[in-house]
Amino acid sequence: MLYKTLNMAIVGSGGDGVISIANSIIKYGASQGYYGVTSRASGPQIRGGEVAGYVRLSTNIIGTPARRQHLVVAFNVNDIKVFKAELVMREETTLIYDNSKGDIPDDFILTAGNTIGIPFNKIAKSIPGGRVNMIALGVIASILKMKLDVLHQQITTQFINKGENIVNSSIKCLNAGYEFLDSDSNKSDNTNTNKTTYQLESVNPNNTHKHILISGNEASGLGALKAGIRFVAAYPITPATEVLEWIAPKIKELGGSLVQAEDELASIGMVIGASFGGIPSLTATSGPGLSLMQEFIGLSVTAEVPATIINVMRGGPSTGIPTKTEQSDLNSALFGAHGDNIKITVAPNSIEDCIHATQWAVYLAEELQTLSIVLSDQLLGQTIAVIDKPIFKDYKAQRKLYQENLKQTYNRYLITDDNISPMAIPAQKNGEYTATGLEHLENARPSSDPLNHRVQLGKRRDKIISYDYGDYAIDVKGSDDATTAFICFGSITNALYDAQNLLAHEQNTKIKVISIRLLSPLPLKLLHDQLKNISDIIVIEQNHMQQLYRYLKSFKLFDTKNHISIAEPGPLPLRGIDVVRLFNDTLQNNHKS
Amino acid sequence: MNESHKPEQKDTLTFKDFKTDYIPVWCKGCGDFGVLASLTKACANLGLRTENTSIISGIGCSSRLPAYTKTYGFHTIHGRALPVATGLRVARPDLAIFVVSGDGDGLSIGGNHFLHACRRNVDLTMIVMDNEVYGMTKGQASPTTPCDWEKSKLTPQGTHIDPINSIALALSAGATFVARSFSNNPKQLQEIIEQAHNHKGFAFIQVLSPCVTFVPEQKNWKNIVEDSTKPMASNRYQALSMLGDLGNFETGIFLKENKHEFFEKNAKHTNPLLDQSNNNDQAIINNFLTEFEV
Ligand SMILES: Cc1ncc(C[n+]2csc(CCOP(=O)(O)OP(=O)(O)O)c2C)c(N)n1
Ligand code: SF4
Ligand SMILES: [Mg+2]
Repeated sequence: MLYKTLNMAIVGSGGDGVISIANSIIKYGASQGYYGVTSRASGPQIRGGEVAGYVRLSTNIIGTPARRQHLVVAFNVNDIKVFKAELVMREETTLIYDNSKGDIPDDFILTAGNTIGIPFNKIAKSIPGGRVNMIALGVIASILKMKLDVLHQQITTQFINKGENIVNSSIKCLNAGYEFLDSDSNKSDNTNTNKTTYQLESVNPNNTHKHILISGNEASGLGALKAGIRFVAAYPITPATEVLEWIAPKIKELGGSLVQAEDELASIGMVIGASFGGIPSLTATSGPGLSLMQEFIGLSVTAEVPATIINVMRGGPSTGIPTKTEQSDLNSALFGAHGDNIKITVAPNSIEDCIHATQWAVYLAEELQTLSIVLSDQLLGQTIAVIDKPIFKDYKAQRKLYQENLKQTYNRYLITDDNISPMAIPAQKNGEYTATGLEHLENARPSSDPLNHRVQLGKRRDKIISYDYGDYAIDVKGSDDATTAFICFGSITNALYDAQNLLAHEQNTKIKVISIRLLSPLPLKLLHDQLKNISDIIVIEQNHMQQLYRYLKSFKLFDTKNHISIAEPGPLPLRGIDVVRLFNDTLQNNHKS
Repeated sequence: MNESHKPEQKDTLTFKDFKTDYIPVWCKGCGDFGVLASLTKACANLGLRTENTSIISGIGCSSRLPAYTKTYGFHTIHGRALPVATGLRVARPDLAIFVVSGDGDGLSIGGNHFLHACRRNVDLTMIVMDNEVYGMTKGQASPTTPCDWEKSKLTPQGTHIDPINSIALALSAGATFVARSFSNNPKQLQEIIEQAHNHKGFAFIQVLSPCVTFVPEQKNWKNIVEDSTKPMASNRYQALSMLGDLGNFETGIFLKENKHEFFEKNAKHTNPLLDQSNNNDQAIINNFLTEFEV
């Protein structure tokens, strides 16, 4: 059969090479002009435990991984149980498992339409240097009707550095797997080899757009460097570490540096120190780290030293669900740090947008001399996708710098028309001042004068809320005559677009999707304009306490309209059909009450 | 600010050029005045320029010091001067950077950063004004308070905890310049600050600096502080081995060790803020994007 989209999962233990299979498939798909995403999930063990690699290939751009699979390959069927919530097998599914050590255990409930046993281990042992993942890749290649010569080429490039022997044994394994299901001699009574093939439709030959294969975390790193970040300090944390791993060698090429700090307080402290020195600086972390940074966030805001934090959200609170996704750090980003402080919060809403939104966040922090937070999440960060090669936006770090003037006294916190004061950086003559988190006068000296406190609070607020952020602050999709709107932010945007399509086609319901990129300060005028003809508002978010809904409500954005909240906590990625189901359920409950 | 405090871009600066007209909040007789005097004199004597010098502090009476100098400064948050200074050091290898801190700021809340700044051997001079008390919050026990000090309402029976020996801590954590001085010995203090600044790597100076308000007994320190007669060590094990004999009021330089410093070989930062049309950088970054092509 021909498909527009194919979903598959490879499941094994650490050492089976599950992720490398997923990567090979997506690379192959990309080379053939397909779009796709791959993501990984792991069981509770850090190393050596169960791992699932998901691959989704499609003729069209896709965002979210799927749960219902066409093809599942398992090196040990029992490993699948760990992922039962996110890996669903149905009539259309083919399950292939390693039967080297026996058949499927009795307690394993088979839901796949077709189940095939293949002795991966036995075959691998029969080939010198043989590895099970290459056998499995060969089997998958035959089922997806992949071009063998292209795969050979790909594998050669991948392993050439490891020596010719590895290349040769890999190709032997691949071929053995590829031929296995078609060879009559492998058919025996207790091995079902009913091969179903799954093939993708051909890609549109007119689509000549260049593609890139990139993760959201890499994309964020790229956006950061593009914006002018030349100093990074950070402490490792799942699922943000890849941002740092990508940046580390790259920032060196640009004459910058990355420091592994002793903890998150130190990371953000180092960032603020480097930025005080005039270098655009950034850190990346996840919820627990963001919590530790709060006091320094207040310092950045008050001392007006620019800094950017990429916060890749994971399931919370506390240690929560570290390897999975959730949008539950919104409150922490918006309201963290004590005292009256306002800062910038930006949420990328696609993998490509991780580049642009991060770049924008750095630009805004520098422009407004304040702190900005990028709210990415595990789903965006750790999904690797084939997307159209993007064109960079123009956002480049720019700071209103002090111009050396030996004749005039310099006032660091001078009140100006736009409330942004020229900033002196060390080595500028006659610009010497002491930056401080104490409330201060225009000349930076500490002061507890009540009137001055108001003036400086107002300055720090007004520079941020009166700035013109432009249309990039929100994304809107849907027809103008829709009277129902979904409001959301971040990674779930794509699922809402899918739901919007499904609802239009299956229920004849028109929906406008408003995805808020600039969460703080809220682009109220843009939102009011977009909601003018809307009578019903559904705020959808992936957390438990309706963080976005309550935040929007506090601005009286929709007091005169019908409004409902759909707040679904993680850790599973929300899909279009989930949104449709939640939407329908919510409507029904509302009618009942 | 009045005319007299504008640097005329003179060739040589005196310690007065390093001071502001801002009157310190310190109590009369506080040891920190002496540290301010010696530090500004050291800066002048080292030939530093105000614009090329940065003084970074945390929170505490002692941490108020940067605002009283005419250099760049950053009065950060409690315990966190070292990370801020480390970031500044890596970003700006060209600057002279001093960290000023207290025994609470540097060794209690900032203790972890202290260990890691020492072991990184980051090229900074850190001056801890040790008054064995939290002065700013009105007299609680600090990590260097003697265990039987009963004057704090929080620990009226004393802490029953042995105080930290900050010299031992710095040595074992890997600082490469370790010294002790006294706020009331301006000449020695100035000289030690100068040597610490000239040292490549992390230089730690414990300065006994009396809190005359909450521990008035410390006024007596001037009668018990003495110059150390121990030889200066050139590696930390040597220095550690003589610690047992070292009195708490012996001052001097205990260690000067040659070791590679943090980010010594770091390339010069390009600064996109100052060089907006750096086409070379743009080409490199465009190439990063191309590397993702499939
Ligand atoms: C996070 C935080 N906790 C507590 C305080 C209150 N506080 C301010 S200074 C200080 C102690 C300062 O002691 P030390 O560093 O020895 O400085 P000194 O005043 O003795 O010079 C404390 C506890 C604070 N400012 N911030
Ligand atoms: S309280 Fe103590 S440390 Fe603080 S200024 Fe007064 S004397 Fe100095
Ligand atoms: Mg103290």
